[in-house]
Amino acid sequence: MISKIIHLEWRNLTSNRWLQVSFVLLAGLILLATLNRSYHHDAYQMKVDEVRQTQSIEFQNFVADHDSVTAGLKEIDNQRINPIFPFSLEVRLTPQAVFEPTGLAVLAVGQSDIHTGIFPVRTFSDPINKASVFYNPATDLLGSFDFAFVLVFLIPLVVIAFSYNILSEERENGTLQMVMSQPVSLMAVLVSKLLFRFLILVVTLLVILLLSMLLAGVSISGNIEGIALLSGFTVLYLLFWFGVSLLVNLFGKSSSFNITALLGVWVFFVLVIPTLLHVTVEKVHEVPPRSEALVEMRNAEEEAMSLDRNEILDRYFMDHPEFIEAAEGSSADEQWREIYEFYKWFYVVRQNIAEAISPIVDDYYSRLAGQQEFAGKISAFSPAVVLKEAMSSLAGTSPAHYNHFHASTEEFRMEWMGTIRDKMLREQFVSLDDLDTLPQFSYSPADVNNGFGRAGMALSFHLLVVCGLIVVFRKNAGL
Amino acid sequence: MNLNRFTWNRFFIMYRRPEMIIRIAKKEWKEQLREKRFLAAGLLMVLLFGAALISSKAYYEKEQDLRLQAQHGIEENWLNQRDKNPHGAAHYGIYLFKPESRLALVDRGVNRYAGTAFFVEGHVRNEAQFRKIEDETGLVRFGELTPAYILITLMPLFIILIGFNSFTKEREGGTWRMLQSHDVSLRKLLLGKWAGVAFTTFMLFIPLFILMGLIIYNVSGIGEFSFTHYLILGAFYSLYYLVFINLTLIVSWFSKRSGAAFITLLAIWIVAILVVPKLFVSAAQYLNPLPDTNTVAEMYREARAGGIDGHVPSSARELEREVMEEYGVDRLEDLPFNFFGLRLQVGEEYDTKAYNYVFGHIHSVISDQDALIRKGSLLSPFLPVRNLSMAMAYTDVDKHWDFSEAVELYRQDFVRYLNEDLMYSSRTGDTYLAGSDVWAAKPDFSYELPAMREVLTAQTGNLLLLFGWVGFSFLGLLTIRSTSEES
Repeated sequence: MISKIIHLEWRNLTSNRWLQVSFVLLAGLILLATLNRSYHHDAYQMKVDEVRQTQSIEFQNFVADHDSVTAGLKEIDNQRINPIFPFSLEVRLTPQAVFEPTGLAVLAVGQSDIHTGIFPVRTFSDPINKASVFYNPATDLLGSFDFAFVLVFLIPLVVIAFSYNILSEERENGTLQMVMSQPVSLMAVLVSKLLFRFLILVVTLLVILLLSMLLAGVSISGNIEGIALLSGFTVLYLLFWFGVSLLVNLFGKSSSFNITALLGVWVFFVLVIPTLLHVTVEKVHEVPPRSEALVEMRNAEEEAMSLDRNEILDRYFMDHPEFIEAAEGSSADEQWREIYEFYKWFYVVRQNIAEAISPIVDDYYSRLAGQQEFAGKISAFSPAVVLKEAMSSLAGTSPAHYNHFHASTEEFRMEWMGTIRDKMLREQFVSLDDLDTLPQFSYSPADVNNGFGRAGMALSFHLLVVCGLIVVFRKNAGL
Repeated sequence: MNLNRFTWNRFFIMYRRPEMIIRIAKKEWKEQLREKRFLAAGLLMVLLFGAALISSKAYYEKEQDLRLQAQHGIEENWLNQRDKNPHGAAHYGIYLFKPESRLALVDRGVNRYAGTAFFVEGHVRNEAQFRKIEDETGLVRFGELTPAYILITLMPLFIILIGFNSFTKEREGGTWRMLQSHDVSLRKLLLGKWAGVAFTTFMLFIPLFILMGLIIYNVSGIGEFSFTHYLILGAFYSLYYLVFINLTLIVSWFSKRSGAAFITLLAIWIVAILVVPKLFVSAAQYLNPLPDTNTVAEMYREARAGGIDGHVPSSARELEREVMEEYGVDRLEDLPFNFFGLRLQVGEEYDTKAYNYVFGHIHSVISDQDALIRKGSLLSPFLPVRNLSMAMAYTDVDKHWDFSEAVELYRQDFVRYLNEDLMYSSRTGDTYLAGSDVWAAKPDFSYELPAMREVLTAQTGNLLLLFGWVGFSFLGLLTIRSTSEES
């Protein structure tokens, strides 16, 4: 009997022109979304490659210059770029902090449209300013077109259009009596109809997605885990919407009631709850404005600079006597000593400024992380938000990823500053061996808590609630 | 035969008995009130609007406070800085924070996405920093709970909800035939239905809009509250609602079933509000990409090439000769002013020219992007009203630039002031440290929001597009009339 229903369903669906058109449209949108992201992703990768290439050329030039200078073949007047002087590391071998999304970056734009992924890091880089590129706020406001948008916003509507009249239609066409007279329960008929439609949608969706990922040049085998997770989340999300649809059908109202009610649910979960959550997050977990850190930083800078140079150094050496000894053993001649003296002061001042503002900067990054953590928790109220965040995480472009990246950049800056500062205070020259031990910036999306477990739980929870309600209302509806 | 008299006749027949239209409108309205889901939807709109208003007000006041505080802190920084060479002070610089008009309470526009702080320093024109969006969770990408969000994004859904079955319910309920057998012309029926939907829509919108006006009037914010300005903003929203009322009735007329009407209308809503804007943004970013940092740096280098660099004496040898000749001296030290200050100022002018070129290019790319997105207005009535709303609230990209340009003009004054102080308070080769009196006398920055007339002139394109939508949707209603009379 069930197989007959499915057979009938299949014939119904294949003869429905509208449905076919909407599937083609959907395929087109998904393809467009994926290719659109892949274009931006490729452009970004090209920029990264360019930066890396420039870096490696600069490294070679640096080594060559270093060889000539130490061999006495070349003299460089400007000590700031003289490869044997530590300061040249800042300007000639400026480290680049590079953000990396995962292999599934084409799935979701996340925050990648508003953040810069490539930062030169120097001792004197700004610890809180993240913007170094030009942007158009109008395009950022309207947002980019990606697969996450299609899946989270549009697919539920397809589900609703696919199933809103699953029971009411039978009644309105007068075929309900006929269905009831069959030796299968009405519930079984409804569930098998819905499951069939669900299967068709899921399979179509995943096939289209995989095809467009292949077209976008994404490695399927290399991202198999992510794709499996995405499929799992998608299945849970679609089941949730099919469940809601069945639930509304069980009320036994007209098709027109069903569709308005379902749309109400959609508006609620996709448009209303997220905005309310946003307001709540902003209220409960405030992030200190960066302008506060800015004012503090400028104060610290002025304070450090207004002190007498010798006094600053004396004070520093009192806490760090090891440098006095080290400097005495230095091979620098009188002329170099003078230069070192200035840079010692420069780096100690930087150190003082960094110490003065580090509580504010640390507080800023940790409160940002706290806000994101809190948002992740209360996102559980809406499966739409849960799925969107999970997809950003899969793509490695979530706010948490960028926060981790920025915090790591700042951490790295401190490490870098420490390395150069110590060399200055010890009055050491740069040797080629030093180049191997310079701090290296590293960032991996895998280090970020992706929250997949929580996302899976939240989606399952919503599905369970809907199933529970179906069971309750089924009894009420007498099915 | 006489077409003129014929239409006049029709006109009089229609309006001789407007009570019929009113009766239909009243009936529609009563029905809407009776339906619990309309009441629920209306109530939800009111509650959401209330929440949006409250949170927007709190947000606005907090932001306002923070900016004042930050600006104050920066002023203090500046005044309390140690004695130093004026050019050192130019490098230390100041920050200017962008004020938000009180109408940002209605529509926050791009404010979260545009930088709020402008670093004003020597040699460099900076893009605005500290974009609020950089400190946000992903939630804000779903939409921001502001009055404009309710009025522009959700209100059309409400209109669709109350009007989608205007005609289909008559067909489904079997009252269609009855209506036809009565002395009700379909034109009157249409007008009655239209009036019913419009009445409910504006019964919801007008009180909310007045309430919001009162709150904005009483909030302490930037800019005067102009009644006309606010009214025009309300008129834009109203025109937008007319478009959706018309579309809803047209679709309801042509649909056989309520469900089909609803799905069609919803598809229109999704395409207009969600899909078209994003597709056009993607197209704009693809066709007119913004230059990356390297390209910009290269452009700057090219524009700057060959000019005098304030910090490089060798770049200004010719200037030295000319100036010494003019003053009849042989050494820079004998000039009646500090040549270093002059060189810095001349170099600054080269910087300014190069930056004008670079920023001009970037602005033209952004303008091209925005123009392309505006083309999406042909498929979406949402885009023109979104742009008009932001423009009237002083929160669109144009106003951001307007402020950015004002800051740049100020930056030039600010740096010139410091260079001239260096130039006239010391002689070439002197060690000169300026003090607090010099810091205190720096030029003042003041900024005024552009006048409404200016805003409207800049928005002519969007205005025409919105009027076009209103016109075409009314034309669509008229075609209903002709087909109905044929049947």
